Amino acid sequence: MKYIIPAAIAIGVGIVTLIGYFIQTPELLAIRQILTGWAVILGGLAVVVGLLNLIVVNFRRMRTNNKGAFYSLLTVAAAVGTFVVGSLDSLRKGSPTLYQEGSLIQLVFNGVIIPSQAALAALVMIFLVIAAVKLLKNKPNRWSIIFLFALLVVLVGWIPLSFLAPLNAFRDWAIAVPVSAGARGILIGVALGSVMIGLRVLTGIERPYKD
Amino acid sequence: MPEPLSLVSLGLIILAVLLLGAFTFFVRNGFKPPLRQIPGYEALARLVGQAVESGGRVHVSVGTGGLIGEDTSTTLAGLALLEYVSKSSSISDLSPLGTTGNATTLPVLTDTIRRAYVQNGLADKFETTAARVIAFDAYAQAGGTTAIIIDDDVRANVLVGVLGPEVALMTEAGQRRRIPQVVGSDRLSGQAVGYVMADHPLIGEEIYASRGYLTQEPTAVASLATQDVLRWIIIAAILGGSILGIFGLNP
Repeated sequence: MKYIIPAAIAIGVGIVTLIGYFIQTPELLAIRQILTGWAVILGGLAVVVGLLNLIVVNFRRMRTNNKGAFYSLLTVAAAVGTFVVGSLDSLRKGSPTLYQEGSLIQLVFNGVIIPSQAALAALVMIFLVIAAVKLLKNKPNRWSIIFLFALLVVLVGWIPLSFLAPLNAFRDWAIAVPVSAGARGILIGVALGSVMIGLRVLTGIERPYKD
Repeated sequence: MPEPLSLVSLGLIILAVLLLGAFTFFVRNGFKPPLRQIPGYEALARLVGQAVESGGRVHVSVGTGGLIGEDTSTTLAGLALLEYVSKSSSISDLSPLGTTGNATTLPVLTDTIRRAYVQNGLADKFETTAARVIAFDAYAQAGGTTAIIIDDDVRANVLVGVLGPEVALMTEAGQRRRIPQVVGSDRLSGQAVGYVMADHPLIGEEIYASRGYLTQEPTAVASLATQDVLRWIIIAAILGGSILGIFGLNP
């Protein structure tokens, strides 16, 4: 029973939700909405559990790991601080203030999160350029050469100089034809893999909840 | 009345279920569908073994994918790899680490590692902090994971899940520590970064094939065979549609 009940619930819920997508009757839609609502509530609770996990892990790092202790302290302070500021701000105004212009929590987002994301995105660009240069040394094969050639063509093709117009046209063709075809091929493969995992869960073969 | 396209999709799903059942039966009775080599999975067993022998940890990140939404399948694929890594490395002094950027994944991440310890008879060695939420944002998660890779004695990096270009931050940290890395994502940007920066990139649907390749479970191998049949059906549909289009017969 320990195995059958969770599997029966998971399979039943999955099948009802799936059929609700294909055959849209009011009854199935109502059931689907109730189930989706429960999932959203569980997701909200999971965020609180996630926040607790973050705090516990970083407290332990502070106690045991001298190397990253200061960063863990900053992480805990930032997480608790943002949670308190956001909650108090929302309680004071009587509604969630995350998307309200001029609210404290939006100030934190605009002043800390967005600049941090921009800085990390810029770092990604630098790492990628360095990695692309290293690619020929680490993986000296024809695919690496094609990769670098495509990279150079696309980058140089963006330069707005008249004598580069043929390269520009080649770049447009490359993006529209071979790149697009390859990307669609990969995405069809990803979609098929995704469908198969879904079916494995629906048929009870894949059970992430099993013991 | 359901739309014709919905009926076609439903028909394909029913066909996939029937094929999965049939292939499972055949594989259990000795049929072995030909599987091409995937270097990432061939290397995985080796790099997990090396990490365990050297007394270090294996880190598995499933990215920012959750269990509620369109990313669920990809997250489950990452969890299948975490299960394999946890079973193989639970004898190590240091527990494997599972990280995520989505809170809904955390309970399953924790349970996957715990289950591996219980199945290996090492339940008392399980650390509750082996599964961690790093941050709820992709870049913040990647940035936070770099600290774990560097500070927590990680000797092998497995980054498989919902990962975009931010995976470059994590793989760069792995490169600095000179540890072997396997990277796979359902996103094209994540795959491109993985190809450039990882030792063993997993491209396209390869991330969903982990159970079939690593455990050889009949149902997992059968799902790979089913996937191949569906692929041929889609190829035939695309070619058929193109030919009809050339002759002006496209509906």
